[in-house]
Amino acid sequence: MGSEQSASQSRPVSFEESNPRQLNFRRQHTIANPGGGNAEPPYDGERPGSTSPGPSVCSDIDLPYISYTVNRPIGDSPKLTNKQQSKPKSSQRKLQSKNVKKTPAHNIVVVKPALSGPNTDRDPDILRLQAIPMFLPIMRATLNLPAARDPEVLERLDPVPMQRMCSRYQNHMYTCANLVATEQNILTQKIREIDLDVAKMVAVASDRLKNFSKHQDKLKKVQELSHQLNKCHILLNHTLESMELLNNYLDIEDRLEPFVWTTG
Amino acid sequence: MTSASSTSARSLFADSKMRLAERVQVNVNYVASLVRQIVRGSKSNEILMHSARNFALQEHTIENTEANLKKLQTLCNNLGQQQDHLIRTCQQIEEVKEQVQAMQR
Repeated sequence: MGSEQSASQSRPVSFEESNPRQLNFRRQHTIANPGGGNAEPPYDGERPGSTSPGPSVCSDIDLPYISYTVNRPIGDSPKLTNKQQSKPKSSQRKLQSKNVKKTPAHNIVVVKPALSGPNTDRDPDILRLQAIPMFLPIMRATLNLPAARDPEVLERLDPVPMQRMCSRYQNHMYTCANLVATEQNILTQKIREIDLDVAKMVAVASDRLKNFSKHQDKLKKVQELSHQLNKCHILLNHTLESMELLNNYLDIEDRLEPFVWTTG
Repeated sequence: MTSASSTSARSLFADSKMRLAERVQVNVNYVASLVRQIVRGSKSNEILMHSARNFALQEHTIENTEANLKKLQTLCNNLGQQQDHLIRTCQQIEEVKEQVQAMQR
């Protein structure tokens, strides 16, 4: 916990004393503490907000602590401290602060001890910070030495349950796909069967149509027959009338006998 | 001075960022290969594509069925007309019989 918070916090008085090279800019809120800056600090008149420095003059919005890391390195490797400080923590105002010299002499001179205040342990931010579990960085800080990071990570993962789960998922997908495929095959067969049945029905119906058309043709003869019979009947009646008429025109001596239609 | 510090610090950060990105990419590739194995191991894609293609081939069959059904409809109409004609003709036969009997008298 010490090295994380060592260099990024400093009292404003000591900060100004130790870094005359810093431009005299107005203390403002940092970018990482946008909303919590208006609260008055309970102890002496530090600037409201965090004690981290204001935005630097150079336009490094994403690297606000460059001046600290380069000008005042803490330990041996500036890269280590850069990594740890590159995550801007917003409110770390009540943590212990140390005054660090420019030269890496490993001697820390405390000008004035940090005030812890009566509300240190009840500060919600400090409590939250203390509740953070211990974690390791994603990659080891071995930029120059390629360490074997892989086995360390892979040893902590048990592959057997993962493999079982993946196999189950794979089998599940296979089963579902097979179900769907069998249903589709059944549907396809039914379609083909229905097509065959409909074709058969069409054949039967067309056969019946042909037969009935033949019967129809035969029966049309009946109609013709009835027409002819009617004509025949009319003609016969006409003939009989004409015969009667002709018979009456003759003299009485030459008349024939009245015509009687006899059926033989 | 600040600009020099920014460039040197930026070069520091760039290297670690690149390495982190590489590690992340490696992990993402692992996960991708695992998922690809799952998807291709269960040949669900092929099976479903196969069945979909078969079903699409039935389109021609279904069109055939539809044409047959329409033919069946017209055949039914024709058969109905023939039935009416037959009924009328059978009634005419009865009339013709009567006429013949009348002529014979």
